[in-house]
Amino acid sequence: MTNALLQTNQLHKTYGKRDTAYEALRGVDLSIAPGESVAIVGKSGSGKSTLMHLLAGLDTATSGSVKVGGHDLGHMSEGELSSLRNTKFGFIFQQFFLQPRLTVLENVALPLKIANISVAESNRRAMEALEQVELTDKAKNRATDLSGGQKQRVAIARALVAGPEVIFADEPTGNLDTQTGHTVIKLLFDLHRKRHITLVVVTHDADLAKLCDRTIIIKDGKIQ
Amino acid sequence: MKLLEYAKTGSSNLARSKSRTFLTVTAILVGTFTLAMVTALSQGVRHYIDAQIQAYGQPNTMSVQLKANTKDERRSANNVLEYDPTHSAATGTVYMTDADVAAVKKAAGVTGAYPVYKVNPDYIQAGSGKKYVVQLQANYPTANNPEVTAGKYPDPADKTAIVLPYAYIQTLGFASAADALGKTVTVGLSQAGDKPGQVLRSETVQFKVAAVASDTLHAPGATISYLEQADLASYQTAGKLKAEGLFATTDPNQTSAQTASMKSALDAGGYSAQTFADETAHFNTVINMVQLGLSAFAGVALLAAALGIINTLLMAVLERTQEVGLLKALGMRPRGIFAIFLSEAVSIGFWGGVAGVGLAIAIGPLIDRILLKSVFKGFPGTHILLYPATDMIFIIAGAMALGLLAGTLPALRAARLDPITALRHD
Ligand SMILES: Nc1ncnc2c1ncn2[C@@H]1O[C@H](COP(=O)(O)OP(=O)(O)OP(=O)(O)O)[C@@H](O)[C@H]1O
Ligand SMILES: [Mg+2]
Repeated sequence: MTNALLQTNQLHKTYGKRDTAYEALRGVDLSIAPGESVAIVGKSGSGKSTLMHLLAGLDTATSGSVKVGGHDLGHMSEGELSSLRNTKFGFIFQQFFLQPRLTVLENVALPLKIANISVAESNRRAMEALEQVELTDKAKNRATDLSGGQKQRVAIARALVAGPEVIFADEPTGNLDTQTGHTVIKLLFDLHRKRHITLVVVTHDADLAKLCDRTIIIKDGKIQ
Repeated sequence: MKLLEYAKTGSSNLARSKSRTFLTVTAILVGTFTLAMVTALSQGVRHYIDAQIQAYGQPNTMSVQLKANTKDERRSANNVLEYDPTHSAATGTVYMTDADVAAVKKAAGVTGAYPVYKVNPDYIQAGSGKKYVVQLQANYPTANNPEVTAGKYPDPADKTAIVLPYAYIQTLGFASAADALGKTVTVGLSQAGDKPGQVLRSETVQFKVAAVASDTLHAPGATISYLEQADLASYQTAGKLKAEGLFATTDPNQTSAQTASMKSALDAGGYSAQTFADETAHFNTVINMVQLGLSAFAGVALLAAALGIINTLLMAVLERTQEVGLLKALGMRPRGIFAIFLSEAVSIGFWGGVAGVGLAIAIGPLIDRILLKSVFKGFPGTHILLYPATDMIFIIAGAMALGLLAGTLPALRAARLDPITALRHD
């Protein structure tokens, strides 16, 4: 595929050195088109998160390459990688990672603040993002005051706020009950369809995987 | 994010661990407070001494000594003075001769030179009142007269005039300085014999109070004409006058280069000259040394405080590892993380500096009161300590610079955190 948004070539990742070395990825070739939704599934410890981190430029490969829109992440400077993550990628983690000291609105506006966008503009766009996840009434609350489902919806708003091309989600429903999980999944796929945002979701959840255009199964660091 | 934003984030982060921040700031405070106090005290003392010297010292004058007395040239390795046939050296002190006076007078820039004779009077007395111990010093012909609180400084050639120090006004029974003017006082003196307690002869001399000198910390003696001083010294030594040094006057329009060449000419002739400026400089050197020494203590305290900053920030980095990971994942650059932690360190320095200087200024009046009751008893002003704004700002800036230095290591560590490792940290 030549128009791939994300593409890997013989991706290897080894953690640790010498006797503690562990090869988490053993040659992954993968291509994801713009607007596609991809589920990465597999057993615990198979290397799903590792793959996602490499795709998102959060970690560096031991060998092989990751290309985003044709640009090799391995050739990018720290600053270029930072601004790539800031403007093109959105992240959703199992543990939400909201800042407890900040309000819901400030949490959502964080990527814009990092991008040096004015407070007024940041707040306006953060409010828009909160509308998408139907949490505008909680904007002034502390992030710690929210329920798990609400926290994850705030995290989705934060992933959305900078208008990313790709959202990476690592077990977004992992810490939620089935009911709440479904709400979050529905939200994620609505956005994916409405805004043509590419979705890369690491999950154990069969329902979630079924909703994706494609499912990639990882076993022992390889695609099956 | 703009630099100001990083700074705001950094300083607001200080509120997250209040007791830890408080302790670190307190450590800085100890150092900056000490520095501010030392500065205030030495500035105050310097100012005070300057004022004293300005009021009582006489510009364009100098004291001239024989180098033999002050330098080691004519002393053996074991500090024994060599015999000099042109000077008598009975007591180990070499005395000035008329030839010395003439030689000093000849130096370019010297307008007058007078031998300094010591007179040891027995007492001073007003009317038939109590007798008090007194010291006598001479009034030499100079262009400038010291300040007086009452009366007019007498002509140095007026052998009957005396200038009394302020402390003697009430002591001798006068109602006020003005009251003493024109009154007669008696000075008693005697010639001592060779045997202990032996008195060969005594006399009393009458003086008219011409002026009263302003109050001063080191109460000087009463001042009489240099001619009378010589006469009294001659009486006490039965004509064997001895001068340890000379009082010389110099050209008031002298440039500093001319002063230097005058001094080196005197030096070449075997004399050491101390000008008015030299004496001030001498005081300043002493104060500078004391200030430096005390500041070194403050420096040690600040060094320890810097280690405290490092420790505090390393702990903060550890605590906020996950937060750093998130910020990096969301696209904050390493230099942004660095700036946040560094501004935290600079803030600690800033608050430590402000608190230390503030505390020093706040307790200033209390310290002043204590000083005025003890060491500086009789000081005419109401406060001794001085807090020059530039020095105080410099101390605060220094504390901030210290924070900057101490914060670099922890901030670098935070900036280098790998986002994934940081996110997995809990
Ligand atoms: N920093 C690390 N150092 C050493 N080994 C690591 C590190 N991170 C991950 N691993 C190992 O790499 C392998 C893959 O880890 P990864 O987190 O990608 O698994 P996963 O598929 O996401 O599992 P899970 O479903 O439990 O989240 C695991 O065996 C894990 O122990
Ligand atoms: Mg995982």
